Amino acid sequence: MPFPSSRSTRITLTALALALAAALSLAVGPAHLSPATLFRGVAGSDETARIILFELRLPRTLLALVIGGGLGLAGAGLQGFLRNPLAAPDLVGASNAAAFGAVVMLATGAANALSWLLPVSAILCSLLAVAGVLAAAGRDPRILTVVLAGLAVSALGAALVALTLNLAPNDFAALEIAFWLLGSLADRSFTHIAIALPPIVLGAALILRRGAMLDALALGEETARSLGFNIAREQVLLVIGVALISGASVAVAGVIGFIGLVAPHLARPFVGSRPAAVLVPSAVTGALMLTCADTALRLIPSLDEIRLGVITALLGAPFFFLLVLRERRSMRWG
Amino acid sequence: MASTFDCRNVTVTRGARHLLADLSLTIAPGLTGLVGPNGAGKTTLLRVLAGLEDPAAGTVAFDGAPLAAMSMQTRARKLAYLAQEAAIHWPMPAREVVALGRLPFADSQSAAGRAACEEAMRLTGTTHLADQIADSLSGGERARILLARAIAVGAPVLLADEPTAALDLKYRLETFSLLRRLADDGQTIVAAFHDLAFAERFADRVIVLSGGLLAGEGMPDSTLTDDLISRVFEVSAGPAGRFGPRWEPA
Repeated sequence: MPFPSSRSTRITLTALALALAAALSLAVGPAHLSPATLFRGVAGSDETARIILFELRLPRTLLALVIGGGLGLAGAGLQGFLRNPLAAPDLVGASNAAAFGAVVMLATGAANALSWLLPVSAILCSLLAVAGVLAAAGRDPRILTVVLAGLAVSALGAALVALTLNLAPNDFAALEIAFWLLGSLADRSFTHIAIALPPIVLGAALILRRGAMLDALALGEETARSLGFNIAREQVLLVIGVALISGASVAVAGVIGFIGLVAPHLARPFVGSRPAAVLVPSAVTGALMLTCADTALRLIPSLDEIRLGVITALLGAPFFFLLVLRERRSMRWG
Repeated sequence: MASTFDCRNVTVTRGARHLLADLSLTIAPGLTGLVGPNGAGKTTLLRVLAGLEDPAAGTVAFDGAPLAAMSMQTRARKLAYLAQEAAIHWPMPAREVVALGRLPFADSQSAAGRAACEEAMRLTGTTHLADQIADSLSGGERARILLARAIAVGAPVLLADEPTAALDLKYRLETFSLLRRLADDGQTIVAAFHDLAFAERFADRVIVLSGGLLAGEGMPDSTLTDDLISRVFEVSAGPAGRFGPRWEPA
């Protein structure tokens, strides 16, 4: 089933795909630079091209890779832990909660005074959301319970965001917040990378180290415990990992949905379904997806750039629907 | 080294209900059959022995040392536990399911780990299923794969909760013969099951539970008396048919 068969071939192809996606992402933008100009920018002989490439486009490309990879990994981690193919950071309400955490800081102006408050608040709210859904799902994380609990937490997050918008000090602030909520990587700088990278790397490390536990959980919680895993402790660490990633992502890029849901599903046909084996490929797939989506939206001719979160939602929602249909057939509901 | 359990005054409660009440018993090496009606406390006792359930009162000693003081990793390496839940949550090939038994050693990729998995699949007659996806297996095949997973741990103790519930007569017989063989090789095996004829034929000892209490223990012959069976199971053995006694309400 795995394609292609050899591990080194697969790694090489994956690296090539990532490099290609990153190169395309660097080559495309509002300023039309010819390949020759781009080359001169890389070489440093064209100062304008160099600034466009390294100060405008590179942060955006790097953020797409880091956030896409993080969200893909978080989705795979949650799906593995809940033994639930419909789990993802945004579907358990982590994204909306993080958005609320961020929006409050924007609306009150606290983020202007202390810039670190925004990501910290987003991460904390995200943590509360994931912990809440997992607590509601309890010992028996059936698909329906998780989806419904996620829906409730997500709705609460959305309502709190709406309330914050409602009470926003002025129309301009409200508009700024609304646009930011749509999710975008436009006009990001290395400052944003500095904000997002540490929590995402830490979160990724926390999730990657749970691989064996996720494998064991494939046989249920009792068996996993008998294999030596302290599930209660592992759950806390996994939730912190997911919250760090989704909170930090929302803090710098707004709400970008469906990457965490879709990436593991695209990875499984290549690497099988064993939860630990899906983790890294899901991160790679997520990074590819977000980088490609962010490149594609710059190629769509429109007056204003279409927002990244809008694109991922437009593509992700039908995919979610297909997944629901498939799960309904496989009778693992209820 | 043959392993033993020593339970002293073990009580497990769930709310106001006593799942196990002041249970004291010793489990010696060999094959111990855990029998009793539904809700007698068989699963609870197995979970206590596996260290998955902390008694509200009483102590459990494993090889002379308190079970509660053992590290989770040591416990995982010494006590293999086969849960009643037969779910395999992801469509993984049988080979990968069996390899999960090596997680306490983190060696499923090494030669030793692979050998243990292959041997477990050979013993359970599942070698030919190695590449099949768990979703596509029959209930009986899945049960044997999960048994192979527990055997692959290579632990001195195997605690199995109804390992034969999903199996037809042929595989039930093969599974009991296999447990018998593992016990003869020095493993301590505690298995809960409902079939008294198999208990009588294969077990060294039986422990009979009823309502969380110890109703009897000892050699199957001398323990599973007509009186005990009618008291505990509320049935009595009528005249024997071709397939054993015809159970009637007591």
